[in-house]
Amino acid sequence: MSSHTRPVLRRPVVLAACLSIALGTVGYLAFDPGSASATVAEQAVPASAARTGAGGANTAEVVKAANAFLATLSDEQKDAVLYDFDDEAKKTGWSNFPTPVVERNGLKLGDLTDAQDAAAMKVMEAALSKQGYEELVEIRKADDYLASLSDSGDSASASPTATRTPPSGAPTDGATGGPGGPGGGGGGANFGSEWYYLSFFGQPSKTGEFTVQYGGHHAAYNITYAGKNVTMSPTLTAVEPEEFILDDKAYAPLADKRAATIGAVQSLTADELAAAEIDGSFDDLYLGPGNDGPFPTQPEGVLVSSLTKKQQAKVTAMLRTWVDDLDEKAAARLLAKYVAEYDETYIGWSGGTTIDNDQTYVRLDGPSAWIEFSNQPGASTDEIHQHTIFRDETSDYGWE
Amino acid sequence: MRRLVSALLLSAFLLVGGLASPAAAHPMSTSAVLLDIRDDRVEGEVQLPVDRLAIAVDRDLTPAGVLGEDRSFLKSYTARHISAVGEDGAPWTVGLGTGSVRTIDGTAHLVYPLTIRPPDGRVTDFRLRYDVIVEELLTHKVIATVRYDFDRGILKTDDAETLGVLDWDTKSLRVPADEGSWLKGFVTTAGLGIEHVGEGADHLLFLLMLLIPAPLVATAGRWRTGTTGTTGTTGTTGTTEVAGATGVAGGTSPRRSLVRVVHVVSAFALGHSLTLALAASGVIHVPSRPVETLIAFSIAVSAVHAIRPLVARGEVLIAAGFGLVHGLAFASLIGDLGLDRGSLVTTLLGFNLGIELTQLLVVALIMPSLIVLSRTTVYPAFRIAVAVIGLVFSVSWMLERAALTAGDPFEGAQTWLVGHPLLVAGAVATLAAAARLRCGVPWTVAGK
Repeated sequence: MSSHTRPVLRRPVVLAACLSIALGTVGYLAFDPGSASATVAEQAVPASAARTGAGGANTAEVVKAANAFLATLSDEQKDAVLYDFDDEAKKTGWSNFPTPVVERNGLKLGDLTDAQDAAAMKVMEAALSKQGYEELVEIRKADDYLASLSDSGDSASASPTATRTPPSGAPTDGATGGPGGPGGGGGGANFGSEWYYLSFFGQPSKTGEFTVQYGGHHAAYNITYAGKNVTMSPTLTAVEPEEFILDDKAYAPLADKRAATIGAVQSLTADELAAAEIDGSFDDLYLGPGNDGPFPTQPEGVLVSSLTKKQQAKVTAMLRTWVDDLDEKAAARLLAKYVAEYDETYIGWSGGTTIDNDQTYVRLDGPSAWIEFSNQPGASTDEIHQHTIFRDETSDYGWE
Repeated sequence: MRRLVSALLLSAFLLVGGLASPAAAHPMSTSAVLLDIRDDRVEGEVQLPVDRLAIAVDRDLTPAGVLGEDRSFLKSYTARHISAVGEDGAPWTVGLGTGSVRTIDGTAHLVYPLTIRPPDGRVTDFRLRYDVIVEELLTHKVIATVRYDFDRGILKTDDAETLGVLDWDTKSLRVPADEGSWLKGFVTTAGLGIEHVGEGADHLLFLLMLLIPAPLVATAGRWRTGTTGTTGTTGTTGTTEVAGATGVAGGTSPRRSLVRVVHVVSAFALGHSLTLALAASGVIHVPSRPVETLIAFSIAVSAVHAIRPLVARGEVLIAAGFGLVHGLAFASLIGDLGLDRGSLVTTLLGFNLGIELTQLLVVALIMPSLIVLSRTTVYPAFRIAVAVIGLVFSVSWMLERAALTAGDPFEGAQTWLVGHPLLVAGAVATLAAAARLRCGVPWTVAGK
C-alpha cells in the first residue's frame, strides 16, 4: 500500500516544481530590467529625410558617443534617459524657463558622476561644432552666474525677481488661486549648471532615426539624426546676462548671434525696413517652446533675394551663427541649402532694430529655415537679454 | 473617492498646464479670464498685465494712468476684443464693470469685472471670443478658467478648471456652461461638508465628548449606567458604573442610549444649522477668532461634563447651545472655500447635509462600541481618560486661538487621529470586545 502511494504523491511535487520553474523564468524575463526596459525600439529612417535632408551628418560619431555614455549608466538610468522616438514628452520637455517651471526629460546632469557627466557632454561635443559646443558650455555657465547672484544676497543688481518670485504656473497666474502651480509654479526656480538634462528619443543608431535632447534654463537642443541627415530643429539658445564674469573669466555667449542679427537687419535701407516690419508685437518667441506651429502661411518681411549682394552676405552671416552650431560638415551643407532658398526667404522685424531696445524682434522665415531673435527685459538681472530659436520647417523634430 | 476625483482633476490640469507651461512660466506676462457660470448669466473678471497692455495699445501706461487719462480708451479697447456667441450663433451681451488695478504675482494688472448674458436669459454652452492684447502682442497668452460652475461641481476656489489658453492662434474657446446638473453641484457641496467636518478635529472631538456619557445617566452628580442606580444590593456605594451595573435591574438599555444619542445629535444639528443659515445669509456676523476660541471652550465644557455631569441631560443642552457656535465656524468655511458665489439655499442644504452625514457616520462608527463598553468595568477609566485627553486638547486650542500660545503642541496627534478614523473606531471596538469578554456585565440577565 505504502509503496503504491509514493509515485502518486510524487507527481504533484514534480508538477509544482515544473510550474515554479516556468513561472520563475517568465517572471525573470518579464522583470529583468537589463533585458526588458532599457532599450527602445529602433526607428526606421523615413523617406522624407532623403528629400529634405542635406546630408553630411556625423551620425556614427554621435552614436558612438551616445553608446559610450549609455554604457556608463545603470539600468535604471538607461531607462530614464531613453524614450520612444515619438514620445510626447519630446515636445513638452524643453523650454527657456528654469526647472521646475518646466520639467525636463531624461537625466539631470547634476545627478551624474563626473565620468557620466563627461560622457554626456561628449555626446553634445560630437553633435555640435566647436563654436556650437562652446556656446552650449557658456550658456550653462551663465546659469551658474545667475545662481551666484542669488547666493550673494542683496547686492543691488542681483536677481530680485528670478529667485524670490519664481515664475508661476499659468493657471495660478491671475489669481485663480488654483492648485498650487502644477508644473512647479509653487516652487523656486533652479539656476545652475547642474540643472541641465540629457535624453534620447529613439535608440541611437547609424541607420535609424533618433533625437538627442539636451536642455535646461535658456538652452534646448533637439538634434535628430536619420542616417546621413541631421536637423537641429527646434533648438533654442538664449542667455542672461549678455556678458558676465565667472571665476575671473569673461564670457559673452550669443555675442555672434547678437552682432550678426543686428548687422543684418540694420543693413536694410529705410524703405526696406518699412516694408520688412512684421505686424504685431513680440515680447518672446512666436514659435517658442510649446508652440510648434503653425508656421505663418504668409511670410512677412522683405525677400532676401531682392537685397544687394552685400546685404545678402549679412543675412547669410546671421543664418550662419545658428546653423554653424551644428557639426561642421552637416552645417555647411544645410547652410548651402538655406542660402539657395533666398528667393523664398524673408527677413523681418518688429518693435525695434537695435540691441538695446527690449522690444527688438527679428525673424528670418524661409521654406526651411526659421530663426527668431527676441530681446527680453531683464528677468534675473536688470539687463536686456535674448531668447532665440532655430527651426527647419521641413524637419521639425526630425522627419515623418 | 473625492481624493480620486481631485487626483483626476489635477492630472487634467497638469495636462493643460503642460501645454501652456512655456507661456505660463513667463513670470508676469499672462492675462487671465475667470468665469463664474450661473443659470442666467456668466460673471467673472478679466486680468490684464499693465505692462503687456501698454505694448499692445502702444501707449505708455502706468497703474495710475490706466484708471485716469487712459481709462475710457482702455475700457472700450478691451470691450472691443471680447465677445460671446451662443450655440445657435446668437450674440450674447458682454459688459465690463469698473476697472481697478490689482497686483497679481507682483505685477500690476488692470482688472475688469465681466458679465456675459444670453439674450434669452438661459445660459447654454457658448463660445468666448477673446483677443485683448494678443491681437497685437502675438507672443502673449491668456489663461481662461472656470472659477465657479455649480452644475459641474466647480465650487471651491481650489477647484477652478482651466478651460484653455487663448493666444494669437486660438482666439476663441468653447465654454461648457450647460454641462453637469444641479445634483452634481449638490453632491459636491455635501461632499465638501463631509470633507471639512471630517477633517475638523475640533467638531469631531466635541461630538465625541457628548457621546461618551450618552449611555449613562446622571444621578446625584455622578454618572451611572442604571436609571435608578441601585437595587439595594450594591447601592451603598452606587457611585460608579461598576457598582450600578453589577447590581442594576433596568439599566439603560442600548435602545435608550440610542435615543439619547439621537437627541444629542439632533440638538447639535439644530444649533449649528440655525447659526450657519443666519451667518451665511449675512444676517449675523461674528469675527472668526472668538468663534474658534469658543469652539475650543465648548469641547472643554463637554469634556468636563463627560467626567462629571454638569447638569442633568446637560449633553443635549450643551449640544444645542454650542451647536450655535459651531454653526458660525461652518459659515465662515463656506466663505473661505468660495462657496458663497453660488445659490445660498442649495449650498446651505448641501453643505449641512454633508455635516449631518459625517456626524451620523461618527456615531455609527463609535456608538456601538461605547454602548458595549459602558456595560463593562473598564468604562469609568475609559470615559475619564478620553475626557481628559479632550480637555487637554481643548485647553491647548483655546490658548492657541486666543493667541496666548504660538502653536498647538498636540497638532500632530490630532491630525493623525482625524486622518485614521477607521483605526480609531477599530481600536475602540477592539477594546470594547476585549472588555466585554473579560470584565463584562451581562445586561440581558441584569436587565430582565
